[in-house]
Amino acid sequence: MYINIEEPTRRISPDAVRVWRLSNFIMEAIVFLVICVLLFAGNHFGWWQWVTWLLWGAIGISLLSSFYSVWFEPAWLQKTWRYEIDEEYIQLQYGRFNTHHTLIPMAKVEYVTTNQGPFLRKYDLYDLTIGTVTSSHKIPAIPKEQALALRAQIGVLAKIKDSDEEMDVAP
Amino acid sequence: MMEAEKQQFHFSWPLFQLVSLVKGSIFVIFYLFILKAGSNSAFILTLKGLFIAFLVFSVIKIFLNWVYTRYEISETTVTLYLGIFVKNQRNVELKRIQNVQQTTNFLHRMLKLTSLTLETGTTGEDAAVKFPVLSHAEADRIKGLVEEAKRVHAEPPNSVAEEEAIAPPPLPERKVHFTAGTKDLVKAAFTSLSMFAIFPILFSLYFQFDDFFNLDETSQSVFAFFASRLWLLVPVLAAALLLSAVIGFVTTYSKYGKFVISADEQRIYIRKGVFTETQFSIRKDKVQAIKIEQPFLKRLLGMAEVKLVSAGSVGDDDAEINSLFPFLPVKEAYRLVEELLPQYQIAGSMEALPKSVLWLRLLRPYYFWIAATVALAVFKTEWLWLSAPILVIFIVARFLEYRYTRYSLTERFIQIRTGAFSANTLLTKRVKVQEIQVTHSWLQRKFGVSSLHFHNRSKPLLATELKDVPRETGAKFYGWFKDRTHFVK
Repeated sequence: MYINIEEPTRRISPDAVRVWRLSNFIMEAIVFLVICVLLFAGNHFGWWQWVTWLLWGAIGISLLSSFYSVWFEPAWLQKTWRYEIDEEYIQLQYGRFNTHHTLIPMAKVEYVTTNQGPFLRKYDLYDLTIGTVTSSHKIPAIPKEQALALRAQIGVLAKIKDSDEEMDVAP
Repeated sequence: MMEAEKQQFHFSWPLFQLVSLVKGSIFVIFYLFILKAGSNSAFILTLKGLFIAFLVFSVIKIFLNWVYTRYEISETTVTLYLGIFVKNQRNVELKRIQNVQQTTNFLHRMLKLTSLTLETGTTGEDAAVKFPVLSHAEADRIKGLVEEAKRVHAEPPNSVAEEEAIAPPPLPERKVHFTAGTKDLVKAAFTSLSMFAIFPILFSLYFQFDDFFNLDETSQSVFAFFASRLWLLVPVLAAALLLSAVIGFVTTYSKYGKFVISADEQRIYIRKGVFTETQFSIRKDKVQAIKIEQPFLKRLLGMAEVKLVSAGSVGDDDAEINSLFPFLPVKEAYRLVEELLPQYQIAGSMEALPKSVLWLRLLRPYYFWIAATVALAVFKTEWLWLSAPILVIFIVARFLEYRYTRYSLTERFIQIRTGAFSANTLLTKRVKVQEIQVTHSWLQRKFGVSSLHFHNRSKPLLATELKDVPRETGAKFYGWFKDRTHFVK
């Protein structure tokens, strides 16, 4: 434990790895194809030399990033994702190289939604999105019953608002 | 108790909209009906027709809008009734109002009227309730209602404070804390460099006229005239400089003249502007954070600008009305903050970053430098030497940033100072922080540090990051925010 805090404990579904592998693969493939088309067009229409170089560079980067985002990233992200939801706080923690610890007071939650794309549906999983006044956060790939229960739970807990104002502080 | 009733906007509202319609289309009018007045080309004639149709349509819409728009203010809610064909009703609770802005432009002043904007903290089109034209009496009444709603909201009905609430002070005492004098304005004119503002204006005027009338020949003969009598340039330049200094002072004066900051128990009032007068008022407990900004030049001159961060919008960039006078000597700025917001305590001594962080910061990749060098190597090989000074500047900036960064985390406040060439301080209360994040990258873990992030309500969102504090501070910050429940109402 690098940062000495009470870490969240609940984990996301192990199926997240396969969902992310698939969706990342498709995204990367689209990017790769677009670059290839551009490169082809560049050769065909005789664009500037440096544009072609840039495109070759982009192909290299795209291949490397595909390797990372299809092979390593899903597994690492799934392994490191933790969350905890109690009456007062939502805690999120994720990331292997860049680790994030997020803390959101329940009183600041404005809305909560569950979303499901085609890949998630295959594994009966849901993404849970929690919106606050200033931003929104996603807890990915939670099994259906858990996700719906969490949504209901947050919905009830988030009704209580605090006033943004301080209690009289003893000097 | 006063019954709320639906009211129409002031009858001169259409006039204001007509003026702004004419203002907005002045260039089109100039082009179509003055420059191309004699043109018979089908294209110009079509444009003229379309434009006249547009004008007629706009004028009708303006009048219908006025006829059908109503507003109603009860003790708790503002209701707007909008729309000619599609009726639309908007309710805004008065207690949700974050700040109040009152603008009196030249036309308002001529007609002894004013305008009022009530800002809520939400995003989107419905974020503010605007009263474009009001009599002063009506504006005062609305401001009073907003204030009253706050007071009712602030005190729960069964509180012990009820006795005091029965007899509220009839007029809260308002104390003036700052008035901009001539000296301040002269300083402001020089620091804001507005005396040079005339040159870009002149250039753009020159080129605009050049499009219509061929100025090149004239300017060439003028140039030839001066080239043969170089000494003449001295008085001409002096006159130009003097003129631009005067214009600079006038623009500064019109913007910051009559600048008054006052406050009572509950609120802070900022008033500024000579021709267009703007008033801003915010409840002290609605101040989300305090920013003290010193861009490079101001830092050299020991001046600072204090901004009160509000959850509601605070006008366009140009009319940043939440700013306490932007050209204050640093000490004066701090004194003002202490006087106006005694609930905020500016930390005198703050902690520096650990020594090892300097190496971490210097080690981080210089992406911009790499990109610049590659770009130079490809496109401007003869300028490749520029790469070295660029790198030096970045290293110096990182060093200065490391040296200058300070932070302080106390029971109720977090205060952060950053900046390499500029200096920016941010101070906020724990209860005003909306959410936090502590992050650490692989490299940061090697150096035993972490980064702090936190959000404050503002428009746009105020996200603050403090990089490379010791990991223990990261944990402390996390725990600090987790304890907030003990302090929030």
